[in-house]
Amino acid sequence: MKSSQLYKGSLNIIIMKLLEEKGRMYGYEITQKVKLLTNGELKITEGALYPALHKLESEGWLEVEVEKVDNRLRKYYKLTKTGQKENANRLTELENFIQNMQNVINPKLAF
Amino acid sequence: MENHKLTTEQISQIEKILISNGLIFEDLKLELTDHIASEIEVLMPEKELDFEIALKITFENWKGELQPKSGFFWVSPNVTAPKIVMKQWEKNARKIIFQSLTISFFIVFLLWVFKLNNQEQLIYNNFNSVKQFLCYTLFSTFIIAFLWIKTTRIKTSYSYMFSRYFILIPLSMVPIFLNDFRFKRFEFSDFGKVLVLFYSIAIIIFGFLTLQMAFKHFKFISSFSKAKL
Repeated sequence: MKSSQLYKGSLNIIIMKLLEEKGRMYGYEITQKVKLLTNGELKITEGALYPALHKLESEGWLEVEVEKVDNRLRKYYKLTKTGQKENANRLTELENFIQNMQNVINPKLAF
Repeated sequence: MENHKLTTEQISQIEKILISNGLIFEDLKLELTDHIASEIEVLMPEKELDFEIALKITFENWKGELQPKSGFFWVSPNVTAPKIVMKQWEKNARKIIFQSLTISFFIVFLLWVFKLNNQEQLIYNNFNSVKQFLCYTLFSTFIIAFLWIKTTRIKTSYSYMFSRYFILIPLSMVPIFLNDFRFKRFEFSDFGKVLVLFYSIAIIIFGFLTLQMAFKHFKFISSFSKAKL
C-alpha cells in the first residue's frame, strides 16, 4: 500500500465499503478489486490487509464464512449489522471531511 | 486470461511451507494458503511460469510477513511467531488489557462516588457477593473452555492465546481468593486497598474478555468443520 498516511487511515473504510457493495469478499479479491478501482495506484499489501480485516472482525463489524473452493478452503468476510451501521457513519464522516477539505483547498469549487 | 487451478498436491505444498515457517494455526493458515494459491494461479499464466518458480517468487514477496517475531511485552518475550500472527496477537492483547484497565478504573471510581455518598454498607453487602460469584463463574468456565478446546484438536490463533492465559488468569486470581473475597472496609484513603480493589476487578474483566478467545475458536471450528464436509 502507498506509504501516504491518507491512504493508511482509509484502509478500514475501503474494506467496509467494498464489502457493502459486494456482500462478501475474500482477502486476495479485496486487494485485486482495490488495484482495479484505482488503476493500480493503490496496492494493499498483505501485511496491511489481514491485520485490518482481523481488527474489524474483532470489533464485531465483520463476520467470517469458510467455504471450500478449488481444492482449498476460503475465508469470506461480510459486514455484520453493526458493521453496516458503522460503515454508514464512517462514510458520512468521510463525505463531510472531503467537503471540508474541498472548502479549504479550493474554495471556488466548493459552492 | 484464464487462471490455472492448482492441484490438491500443490495446495499441500503451500501449506507445508507455511507450517515450516511457524504458521500452524488453522484460521490463519487456510487464509494465507488461499491468498498465496490465488496469487500463483494468476502469476503462472501471466508470466508463463511453472508452479515451482511461481511458488518461489510468491513466497519471496511474503518473506517479510512470515519472518519470526518475538512477543515482547504484549504477548510474551519468549514466544516467537510469524510477524503476521504476532500482529494479530498483539492487537488482541492490547485491546483486552486496555479494556480491562478502563472498565476497572470506571468501577472503582463509581464505588468511590458511593463511598462519598455514605453508602459504604450497600457496597459491602452487595459487591463482595457479586465478586465471589463472578470469580467462581470465571474459574469454572475457564476450566470447561480449556478442556473443550483440547477436545477439538485443531489449533487456532485464538485457542493458542487462550491457552497462554489459562495459567495466567487463575494464578492472578490467587490473591483474590486468599483475600477470602472480602474487603472488610472500604478505606479509600488507603491507596493500597484501592489498588487491590482495582487489581481484582481488572483481573475478573480480563478473564471474561479472554473467554472471548475461546468463543471465537469454537465459532471458527464450527464454520471450518462445515466447510470441510
